Amino acid sequence: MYTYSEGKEWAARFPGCGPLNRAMLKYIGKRLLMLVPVILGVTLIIFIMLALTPGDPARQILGGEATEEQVEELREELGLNDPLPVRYVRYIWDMLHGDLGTSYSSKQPVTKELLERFPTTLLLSILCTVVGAIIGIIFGIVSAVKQYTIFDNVSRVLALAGISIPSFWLGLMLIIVFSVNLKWLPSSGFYGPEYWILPAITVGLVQAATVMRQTRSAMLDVVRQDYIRTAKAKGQTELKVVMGHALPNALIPIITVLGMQFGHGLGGAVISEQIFAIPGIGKLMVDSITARDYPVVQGGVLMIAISFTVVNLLVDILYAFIDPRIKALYVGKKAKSSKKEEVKGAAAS
Amino acid sequence: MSEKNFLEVKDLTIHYETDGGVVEAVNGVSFSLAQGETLGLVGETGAGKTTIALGIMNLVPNPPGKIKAGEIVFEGEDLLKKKPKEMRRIRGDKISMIFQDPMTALNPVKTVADQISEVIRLHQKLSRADALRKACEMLELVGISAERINDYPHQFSGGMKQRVVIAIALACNPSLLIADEPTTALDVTIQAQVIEMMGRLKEELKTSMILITHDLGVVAEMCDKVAIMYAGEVVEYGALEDIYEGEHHHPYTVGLFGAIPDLDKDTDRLTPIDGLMPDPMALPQGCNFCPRCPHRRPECETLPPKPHEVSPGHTIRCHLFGKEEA
Amino acid sequence: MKTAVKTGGAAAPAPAAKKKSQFQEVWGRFKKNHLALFGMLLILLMILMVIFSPIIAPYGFDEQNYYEIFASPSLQHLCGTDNLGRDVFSRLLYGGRVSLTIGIISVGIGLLCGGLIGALAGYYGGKLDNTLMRFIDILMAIPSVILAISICAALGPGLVNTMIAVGVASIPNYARILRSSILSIKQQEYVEAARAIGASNSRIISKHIVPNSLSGLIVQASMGVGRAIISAASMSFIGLGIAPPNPEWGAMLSAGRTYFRDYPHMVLFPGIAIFLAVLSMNLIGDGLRDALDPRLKR
Repeated sequence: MYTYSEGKEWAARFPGCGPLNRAMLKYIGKRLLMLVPVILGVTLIIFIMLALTPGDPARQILGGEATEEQVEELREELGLNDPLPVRYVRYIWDMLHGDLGTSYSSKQPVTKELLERFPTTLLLSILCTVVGAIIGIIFGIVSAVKQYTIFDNVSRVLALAGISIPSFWLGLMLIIVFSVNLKWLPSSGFYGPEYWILPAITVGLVQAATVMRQTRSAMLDVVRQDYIRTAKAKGQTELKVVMGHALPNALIPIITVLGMQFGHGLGGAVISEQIFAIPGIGKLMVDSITARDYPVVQGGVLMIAISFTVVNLLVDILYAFIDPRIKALYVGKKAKSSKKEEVKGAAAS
Repeated sequence: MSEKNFLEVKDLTIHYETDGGVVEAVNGVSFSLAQGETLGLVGETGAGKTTIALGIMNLVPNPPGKIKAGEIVFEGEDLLKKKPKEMRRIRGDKISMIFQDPMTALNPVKTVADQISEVIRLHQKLSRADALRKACEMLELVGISAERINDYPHQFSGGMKQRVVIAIALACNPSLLIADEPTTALDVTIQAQVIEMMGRLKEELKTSMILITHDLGVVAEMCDKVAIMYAGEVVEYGALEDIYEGEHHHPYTVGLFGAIPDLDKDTDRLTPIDGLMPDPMALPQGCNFCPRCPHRRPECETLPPKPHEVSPGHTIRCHLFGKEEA
Repeated sequence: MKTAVKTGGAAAPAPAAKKKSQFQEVWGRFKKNHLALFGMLLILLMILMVIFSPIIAPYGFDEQNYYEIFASPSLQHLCGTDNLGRDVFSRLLYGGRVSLTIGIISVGIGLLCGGLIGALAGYYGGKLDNTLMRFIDILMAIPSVILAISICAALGPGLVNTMIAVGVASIPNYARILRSSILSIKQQEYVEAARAIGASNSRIISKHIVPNSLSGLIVQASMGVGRAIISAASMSFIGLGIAPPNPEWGAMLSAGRTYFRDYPHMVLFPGIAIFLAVLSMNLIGDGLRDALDPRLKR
């Protein structure tokens, strides 16, 4: 009666089932546009905060021996004497041209300084999230499927311990064990894969704990659903019921928490890069804060915020590929974010 | 195998052991079903009907559910003694089930094509393409255009979802179909369509069926045998005629029929059964129905009644009939 | 049957249950959870030790002893001494005052501001909701550690500034949680019923919305104390929060960093202190969540 190729034809005729289509692209475009005010807001907040900071950057640059005239001259030169709104508009204008100012301490363009270090921080954050995702998701699934068994109880306690450990302390402890005592791994620098292991594990383990808790509770929610019973009634094996039916339905809270963990990784870079002496944006920012090198701090916050926002956007778009109902919501005329809010709210708690 | 032995449930007892106590959901239930027959399991919500169905499928959620005793003999073999792997081969193939709520019974992130062909590919050695073709056939069979095979569940209405569920259940031509209140969640107009379709398919495919419902009209239309359930027990069991036209009835059955409107009679009010079902964690010592029974006697409060055969094949679990045994 | 299990199992708390009995019910469930109880005892013990640190501490927190620098843990110095010969155990006790205070106060700040924003946005909706949530969106775009560091950088180091920085960085979290729980409660039928019989806004808020959205907030707050302790310690660790001479746990870790390869005890014990404090708050939070809503038990 009906052939497979005909089935494919229907798929083509009903593009709502296809992976990517025009409506979806339009939605992505719209979401990208919505990022603009958020990013502008971030720049405004950071700008105001740093502008109100006590201390004179010009004095900072010139040092204690400089005369009042020299300081005043530099203030004029840096535009520090203009009213705040003027300075902010100028900052945005320059930013749109890819100019985030000049570092007070290195006299290099901030953009250049940041872009040099960004790949390191990005790589580190991705590594951490990958470690966290692998460990967290596996333990979360097994824990949920084997609820109340010894495995579940032990991994729950471990996860609770994991979210209670300060990552910088864990990092120091791992250095003592693996670098100082066992001498297996280097503890500072970022020159090759063997340097990646300790930082990735340090932050990854802490992230794994959060991911595990989220995965477990999402899976427990799903495993109780009627469609899981339907799948079992078909005679499907336990493994395929879990991986094929339950997991895809639990993925939304899981990838939500992964997106957030990636953000934590980016933010946590300021700390992990300190411990392991990694030349990334985080270390640069801490050094710049100490040196009151505000253009660099401002640029760093902006760059991290943009990366985090883009990752969250990617997560939002991924929702549509995981759940056809959300896709219908996105591309439908009455696209509302309530469903997402719900999911995110659930993931946050 | 003999017709009589197609499915025989003997003394099935299923308990849910929760923190708060033991829920005696099913207590010593027995019935049998011949090939091609339909048995109606009738009773209020909470009477243990769904638990029996899950028991036959061996899908009672464990923990907290435990099958404490009994046999479920299907085609000569006790299903309760089967290994999980053997049971998986039977589920979805020889015995399949239609669930109560079609809104939640389908996986929201998989296409209908995936969900129907999954069961086909599990039990029949078919290629992906052949399974998809079979899935399209099944969809047409339940009255949905095969063009919609690649749609997701949320794109269907409730009645159509239930048709999809039925298509999944019938895809492997099961010899036993368990339908757990297949129409409760549907609009009244859709209910009739679905019931009509199920009756037709059952005839076409010569499937035996256990129909769980509290709709006595549907029972009259579809069933050959009826088991009336109350608080985990079968209180009256017999052929359709015995229950609907017979002389002797369990007081609960009388009450149940009294609670539905009769168009032929001019009644101002329906006669409901007073009281509520007993707490399944604390069942009465004697007859479970005793607290609500209009004909209760002293022995009802202390002695659980045994099933008594009032005529061949028609048993009633009540002291009113089994005096000589008591 | 399924329904039979539901009604038969742990009876769901009646929505109209009196306050006292509800509290007793929650406490009854909470104390069955051994881990949560352990967490509570642990944090109570820590609080007591910290309060009575002048009595318990064998040495002053800034008492230097140049004859005993870098001493390993012993009976004399339970957790050893640091690079200036100060007793680490005594410093931990005094430092606990700072760390625990920061944890509690900054959660208070976040809860108050975030709760207010979330409540206004959730209850009134419309334009107000839109404006407030766009603001929260902007704050959410900055990872909380970075936000806290930026605030700290702007305000300068110090106890109060650290509390403000950590507290403000947690505002978006509380605002979102309260907003979403209010949104879902607002749609419940009993709130509609209250509105239908003409209850005023303030009555609906105080009698229906607040009690029902509180449980989520309580759980978040207890775990938030743990998070705040870690955040504050992280900031001191990179040299922002509390300045070094003061004995804050993160600052102690930061000071010990220079010597930790040779004298691990300098970082081991402050870390354990942070870990135990945060762990106990998380245990309590988990226990409270299960106790407040047994249906969500996992």
